[in-house]
Amino acid sequence: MNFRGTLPTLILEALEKEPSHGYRIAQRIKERSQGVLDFKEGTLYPALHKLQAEELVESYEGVENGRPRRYYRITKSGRGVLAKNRAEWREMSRAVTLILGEA
Amino acid sequence: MNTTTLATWLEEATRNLSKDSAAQVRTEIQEHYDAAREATLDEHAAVAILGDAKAANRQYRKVLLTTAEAALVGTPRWEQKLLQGGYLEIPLMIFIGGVFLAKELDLGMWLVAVAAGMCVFFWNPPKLPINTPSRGRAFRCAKWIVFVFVLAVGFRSGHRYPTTWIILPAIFLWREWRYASIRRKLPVPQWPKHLYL
Repeated sequence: MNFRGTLPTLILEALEKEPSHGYRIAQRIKERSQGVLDFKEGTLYPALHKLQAEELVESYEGVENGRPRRYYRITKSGRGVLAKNRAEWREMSRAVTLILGEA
Repeated sequence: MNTTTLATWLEEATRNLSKDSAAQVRTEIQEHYDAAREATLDEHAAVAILGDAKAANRQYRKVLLTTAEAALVGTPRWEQKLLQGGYLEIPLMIFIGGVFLAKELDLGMWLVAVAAGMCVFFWNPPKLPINTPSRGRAFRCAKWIVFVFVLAVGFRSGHRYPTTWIILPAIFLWREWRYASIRRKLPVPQWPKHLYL
């Protein structure tokens, strides 16, 4: 399913509970959407770089299974943006449901 | 398929990216590939989940420095200072605009003197303490006001002078567009002095 434009918000949501590396972020988004939101994982990192430039996430070096990994964690302003986007999404979803009806 | 496919994917995805940007992409994609392999995906599937390398390259070029942009970020050589550092076209435009206005409105040489003074101001910004984003924004705002003013004067008087002067605003616009792109991509602590201007 095409979810153009919502990937940054989904990344922020995936990082809300704990820091994570790129591959795990991608798997979390796919699992939590029960496979409906399937995206090309090569585009995950440009989105992460953009979030980093906007200071919504920050990165640091970590190690997993003996391998160096770049981990990402959400910043305070990232949490603010996530809360705002979540509220807007709920509002829009409610409005669209009013028009189209419950599934 | 094997790791050659990953190498091909990386080659396409890093096309026209700067050396540092390309190295960063290679590292993160290699990590992603390794994680996918550890999660029991075979080599083909681990590359396939990355998707279209050209699409990834387009996305990367929006957020990471390209080769051309990296050259602009580097320490400017003297000719770059003249052509790209905002040290030539603005003073020239101000001077030409000042002369046009002085002749058009019969304002005498004092306006030319003011224009010369503004030339000095825009010629000397590297010596001014413009080293924070807010000061940089204020300076660029002043620069744009002067640019629009000079452009308006130039067009008003254009019928009396060769139209080739329009190449100066074109250089200015091209340079500003490139710098704006770099400012979006590069964290502020990594900005060289000329990026604030």
